[in-house]
Amino acid sequence: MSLSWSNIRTIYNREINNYFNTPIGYVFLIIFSLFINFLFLYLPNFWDVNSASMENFFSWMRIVYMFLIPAITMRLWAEEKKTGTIEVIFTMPYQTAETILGKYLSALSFLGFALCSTIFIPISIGTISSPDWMLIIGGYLGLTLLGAAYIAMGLFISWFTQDQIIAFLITIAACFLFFIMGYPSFLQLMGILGPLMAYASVSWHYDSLARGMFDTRDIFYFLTFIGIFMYMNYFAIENKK
Amino acid sequence: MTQSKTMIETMNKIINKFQNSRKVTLMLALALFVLVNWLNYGFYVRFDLSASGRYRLTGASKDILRNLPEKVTIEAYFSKDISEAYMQPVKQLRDFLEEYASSSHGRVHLLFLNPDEDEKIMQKARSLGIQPMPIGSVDRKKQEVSRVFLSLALYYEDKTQVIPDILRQSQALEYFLTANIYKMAHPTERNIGLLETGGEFATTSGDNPFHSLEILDKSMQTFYGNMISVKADAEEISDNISVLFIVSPHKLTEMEKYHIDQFIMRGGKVILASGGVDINFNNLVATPKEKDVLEFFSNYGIAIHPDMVYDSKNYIPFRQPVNMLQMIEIPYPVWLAIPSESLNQGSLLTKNFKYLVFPWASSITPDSSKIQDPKITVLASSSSRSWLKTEGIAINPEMLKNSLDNLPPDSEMKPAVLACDIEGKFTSYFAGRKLPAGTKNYVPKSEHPGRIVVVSTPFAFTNNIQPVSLAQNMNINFFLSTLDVMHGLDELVKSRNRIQTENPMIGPVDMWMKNLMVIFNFMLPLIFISGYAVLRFMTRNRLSKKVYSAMSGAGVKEGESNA
Repeated sequence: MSLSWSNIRTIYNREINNYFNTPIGYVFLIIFSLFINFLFLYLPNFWDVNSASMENFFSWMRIVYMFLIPAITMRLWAEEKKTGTIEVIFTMPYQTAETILGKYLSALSFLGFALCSTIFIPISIGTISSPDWMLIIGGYLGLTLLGAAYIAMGLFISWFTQDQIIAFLITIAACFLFFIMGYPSFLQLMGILGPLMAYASVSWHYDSLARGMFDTRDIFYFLTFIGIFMYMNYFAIENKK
Repeated sequence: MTQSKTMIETMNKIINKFQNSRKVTLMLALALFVLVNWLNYGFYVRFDLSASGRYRLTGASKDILRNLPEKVTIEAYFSKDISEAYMQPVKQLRDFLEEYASSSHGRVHLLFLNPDEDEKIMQKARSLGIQPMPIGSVDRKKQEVSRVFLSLALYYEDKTQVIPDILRQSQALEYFLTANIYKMAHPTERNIGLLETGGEFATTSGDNPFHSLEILDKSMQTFYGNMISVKADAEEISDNISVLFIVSPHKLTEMEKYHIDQFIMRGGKVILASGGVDINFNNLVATPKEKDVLEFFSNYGIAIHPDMVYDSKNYIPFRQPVNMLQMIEIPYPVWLAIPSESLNQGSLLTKNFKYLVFPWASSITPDSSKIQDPKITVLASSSSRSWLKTEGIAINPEMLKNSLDNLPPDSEMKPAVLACDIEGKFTSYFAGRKLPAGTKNYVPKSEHPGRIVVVSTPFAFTNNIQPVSLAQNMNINFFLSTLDVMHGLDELVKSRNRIQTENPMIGPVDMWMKNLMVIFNFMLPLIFISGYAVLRFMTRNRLSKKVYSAMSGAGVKEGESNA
């Protein structure tokens, strides 16, 4: 199976235009940006913490992602199914994998755009103190990988429904599940499966990156996580076809 | 023959079925995901991205380990059945220990032992005095405390050292390990003496945190042990004391002066933490110290002035409660925050520190004329926007909150020296003076070069209160680094500095800057996103108009041609 980048680009352009051709995409980005700035600056008060670090930001982003990513991915397949454009797409000379990749990369780019809108936070910290820049870069790398993993999962979930709200809610639940799987209170319930669950959870790997530790195990985990959900998405579409 | 043919056909059918079954492919992919991750778990590369290298082994630790004369064995007594709440920190500890051993180029032999699985190991742990540690875990129905082994035993030649409960020391584990291994490999006596002068400063926790050296004393335990109380009024200071710590003496008797003087003359090393004023915490005023005490120290090239340094630029604000929930910050220019720019980056004592905080400090002037072969290093100074106050010094925050409204003229503003490192041969304070009665073996001049590190406030090393206490780790590390350097253990300094607070503090920031930052963070993304939106919509509109006009133009032409 050889993929055509020009086909992927066509799908990508179509999807990215869907995000940016309506005011909703921009309103969404503005609300996200204001909200994350508010959380970072006031919960707890940045000046009371008196620390030139973005730990608080990265910590809030884990929670914000549980709502942000489902909102980005909910319409990717569900809307196509509802409007019937899915049939048109499948009659086009694109391979399933090309369509999935185009959609996935467009969602990832939109997330990148959202993350870029937070770039003023490290810049402003840098003007008043000297933060550990490598730690900040590590944190953003963690956020990108976490987002990429959630998008792959959200894209897969979006395939199973025509209703965007249902896709949104199920993706929130799935993100939440994969997130809390690494938390002690959840692991308590898992008995001997605890260590396996801990390893399978995204929080276990994201926390390590957010602390500034670059570990090939975490990178590999995220890459395989993305790979498996993309493949499952491919499998589900091919099965339906 | 026919049978084997049928068998091959059946096999081919099965293979084809499997090949065509997407479900099987999916199951295989999932299994591959688990397998690959499991394999990857054992073979990995890990490195710390942070500039401070808080999870990275310092070059100093590596050097110490690689240059050990003999091999060291670390036995890690780790229980396997650890509460889920501690799985992540224990995993980090294991990773760290493995990295620690592999960085030593074979000088460290690491063994993980589980006493819960083997009675012999359990007995060995007990014989070393290693006990399981209680750690809390929340069970489904009730809160439980389980007991687990998380301790280390270090073996070097015939010496054994146990580090119990490493989970609680995980932040500073590298230093703990390296310091203990170094201590076993280089067993020189290192005793730190605390001069008792009848003042209020003590290693116990008293009523006033500003007079307690308890945290400093505890921080020294790992490597230097507790401070030894030294009484200089009755007998001479023993040469077993490697460094003498003098904290803001109110007054000194002639005999005390004599013994301190002779300790310095014999090449003894001193850390002096004293300002030129004494602070009364009952009425919150500072009064000049006894001239006699200041004059004594000035003999060694240290002129401590009876004043207080006010800094309008680098200070820690005072937090005043407004009600149960709210705190306000008021200017408090006598809690001096000294950023790295004002710390000597050329000296190992202050290198790499992002901040030090000196509360209620006086100015000092090093005087090289009183020292032979002097080597004077200024370690810390206040900003160029600081001034000195010599009379009516109040430390009441209420009285100082408006102090920045009426600043002295620019001519009075200048940096003040707050800490310095003085090395050289000193002349006895008693040269040309009458010796106290009953003294013997008087040494009039330094036999060997001595060293005195002066910090112009005793409160840099006391327990303190928030927000000054947030910088305590760094202040204590500065003290310990000074001890390391005075003992010639320059390599340990880097390893120790790892324990510095993880995130650099933000210095005093003006209110306008704070507001600007808020506006900057809220407005700029808004402007950029809206700007991009407008630009995109305009481009699209222009494009649609072009397309529309092109299409309508084409339509007209078509019509014309038809006509």
